[in-house]
Amino acid sequence: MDIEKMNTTIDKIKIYKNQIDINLNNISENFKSTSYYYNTSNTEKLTNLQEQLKEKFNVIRQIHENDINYLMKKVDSYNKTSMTVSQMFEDIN
Amino acid sequence: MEIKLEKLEVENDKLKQLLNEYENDYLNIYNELELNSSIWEGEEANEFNNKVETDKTKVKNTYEELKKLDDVYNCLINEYQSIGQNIFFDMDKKDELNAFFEKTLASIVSVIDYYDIIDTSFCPAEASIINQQKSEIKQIEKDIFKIKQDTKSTFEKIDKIERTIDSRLSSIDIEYIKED
Repeated sequence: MDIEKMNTTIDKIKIYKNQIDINLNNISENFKSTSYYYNTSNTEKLTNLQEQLKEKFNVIRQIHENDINYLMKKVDSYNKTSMTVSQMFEDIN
Repeated sequence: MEIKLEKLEVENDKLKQLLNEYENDYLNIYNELELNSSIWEGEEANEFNNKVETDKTKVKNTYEELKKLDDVYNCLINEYQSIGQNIFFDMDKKDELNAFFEKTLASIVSVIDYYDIIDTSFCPAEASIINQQKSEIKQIEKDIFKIKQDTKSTFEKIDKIERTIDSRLSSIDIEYIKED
């Protein structure tokens, strides 16, 4: 594992995830406005679809969160292993 | 029903912008995660990368579903533009309105009928005025009849648009997803 590149990847993914979170929040707000300005017999059907999509947004946010946490754990674990191995070599010397 | 078309257009433009940004952002995340496969190798890395591919499909499908919703908004905005910017009416009152038009027209016809039985043979000057009034009332009858027809036509158009929107909304199937 190239730790430096991995850390860069994680930092970038955090930034993009943050942007996605803001974006999905804005889309959810947009849904509210659209339903407010379009009030007909179809509004309930439209609102139901919007609610289903908002639930998916929560899942997507969690997927990205989990990916970041997983990679960070891997980097952490790799660093610990590296330190242990380094220490072992030092002890031998 | 109440539709504020100008406001809907503004919100729809915002949504398009947000969808462009969302597509950009999720592609960026997955580009980075795919690059990750070159800096981390092994069985765990392979498992992770397979999961990333599956998740990317889930995210992409969500984006496609949002685009379908955007298409519905485009459709209703385009269709309603020919009717007006602000539409406000209780569609349950259509029959009541039609009955009102019918009653009004019937009243006007009665008035015209009265004009027809007036004897003006002995008063030519007054006859001219009376005939003028009768013509004006007949014109009013025509105008109201046209308004009634236009209104009926508008209601039929609105019904057709709403049936189209209903059909398009029904065709959107939001896929259930869960994080693994």
